Amino acid sequence: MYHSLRAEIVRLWTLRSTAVHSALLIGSCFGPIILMTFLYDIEYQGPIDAGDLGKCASIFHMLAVVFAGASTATEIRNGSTEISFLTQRRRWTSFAAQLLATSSFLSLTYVIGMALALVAAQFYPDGLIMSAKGWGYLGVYLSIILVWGVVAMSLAVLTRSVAAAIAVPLVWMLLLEQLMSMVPMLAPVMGWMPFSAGMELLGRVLAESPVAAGSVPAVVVLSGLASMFSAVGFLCHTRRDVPG
Amino acid sequence: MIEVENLTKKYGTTVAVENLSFTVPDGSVTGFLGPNGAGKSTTMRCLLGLDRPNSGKTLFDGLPFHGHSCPVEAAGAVLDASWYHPGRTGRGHLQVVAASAGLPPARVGEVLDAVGLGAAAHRRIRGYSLGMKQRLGLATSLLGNPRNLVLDEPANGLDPEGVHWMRSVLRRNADDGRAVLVSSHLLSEMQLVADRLVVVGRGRLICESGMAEFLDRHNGKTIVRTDADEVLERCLREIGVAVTRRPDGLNVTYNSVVPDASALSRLCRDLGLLVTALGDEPVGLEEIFLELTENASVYRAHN
Repeated sequence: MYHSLRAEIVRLWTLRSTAVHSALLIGSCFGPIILMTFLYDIEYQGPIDAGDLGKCASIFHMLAVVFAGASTATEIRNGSTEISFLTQRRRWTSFAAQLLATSSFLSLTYVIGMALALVAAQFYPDGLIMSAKGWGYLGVYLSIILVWGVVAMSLAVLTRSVAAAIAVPLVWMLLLEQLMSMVPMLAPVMGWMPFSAGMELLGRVLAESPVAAGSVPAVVVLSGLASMFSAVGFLCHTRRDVPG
Repeated sequence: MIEVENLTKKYGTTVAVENLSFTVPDGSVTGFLGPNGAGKSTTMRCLLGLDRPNSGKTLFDGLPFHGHSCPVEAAGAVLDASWYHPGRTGRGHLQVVAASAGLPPARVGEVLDAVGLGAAAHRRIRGYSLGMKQRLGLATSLLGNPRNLVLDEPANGLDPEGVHWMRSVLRRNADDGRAVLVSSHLLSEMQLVADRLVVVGRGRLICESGMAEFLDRHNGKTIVRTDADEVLERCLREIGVAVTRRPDGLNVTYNSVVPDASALSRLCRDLGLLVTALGDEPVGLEEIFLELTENASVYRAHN
């Protein structure tokens, strides 16, 4: 497992596109805060809070899905699976290492990006206000991003297609669930839809009411989603023939 | 030593390899030949655990590939010139492989120099020619200093100097005691480098033998050209002599009726034909291969 993890880190390290993605991911966290500072509008008076940083995190979220899906599928198409299987004893280690390395990369860029966003917020005319709930909110948002990253990576293994790995999660989040939320008869099940459940959970973290109350469906759905997709990814990675 | 025992691999209802068995002994280069779609690549993929066979087993030095504690020391392989991320440098690619195999990073520089890619190591692979990719492939397969080598079309895309170099690398590795399995469509090249041959067609074994034995067994043929080849061809067929038409004449297989060149020239004289060429030169690997696989080609153009 150690060698697999090292290989995945070297894979990321030896590609210029990793640097480009890092810049985009980190920039998506603090870029909007800088823009808000430059384009300050008195109408929106008030300090920057976790909700504002959440808007940055939502951009990071989409870019993270693109990165996770594109990098995994591109590596597969360029023989990463073959190289892993020819150099390692067990098939599962390379997928586990990829999940770990990509999730660590996303976490690192998120932490750096948010740290820079907090620094940038110091220069905002109305300053920054962060409560304990705000930190919790950013932490929960990172967990949600990582869940969707796992979904994108598993889809890349399942479909071996860059387009599918990126498009399926994005279309689900940004189109299908949005359309479903407009149908009144689907309102009772929306809490069990993964993207809506995540947003619902984030809302509860910032709300005054205790977080535990009503957050069970979201936790169940998100952990179920991550478990199901990673299981499918592992199964495809270890059981199927390598693409020829 | 590489052993393939009763290997069968199906993709859905398509049988790619059927009950295939052969051996690649240590200290020799074994050429793996067959027409397109014969099952060569599938066999190699099953050997290396990339595809799961339906039945049978494949062994490197008595163990399945993934049964070895360090697979890269058991076998080095590259089956496809597209096993590289185009955005990575040659050195970066080998660093990934070395890290994945748990090999020291210093080994990367050694193999890059060994395949003559040291100067291009910092360049991105998207800028590599096919020949450079082949050299990088060989560097990848040699990284773990393996006891066995499995290479699919390693000379494809190489210039004449590169082909000569590849031949010397394969020879050297065999002389060092390694078992080398090489598939290639460059039959003249294979005739120069291979000690043994395994010929497959439609997923089945057609022939397995030493190169000299293979050529000897299929010789006893000659090329004859006359002023009316069609007359001679018809006559030979009538008396039961195997004959095939070639651009440079007729390829005649001697038998008890026409056992040698004298008998053939006498027959031509009796038919009133003028012999313009009659060779005793041995038939090459290419001719034998084409004859052996005549009915085993999956893809054949219809003229």
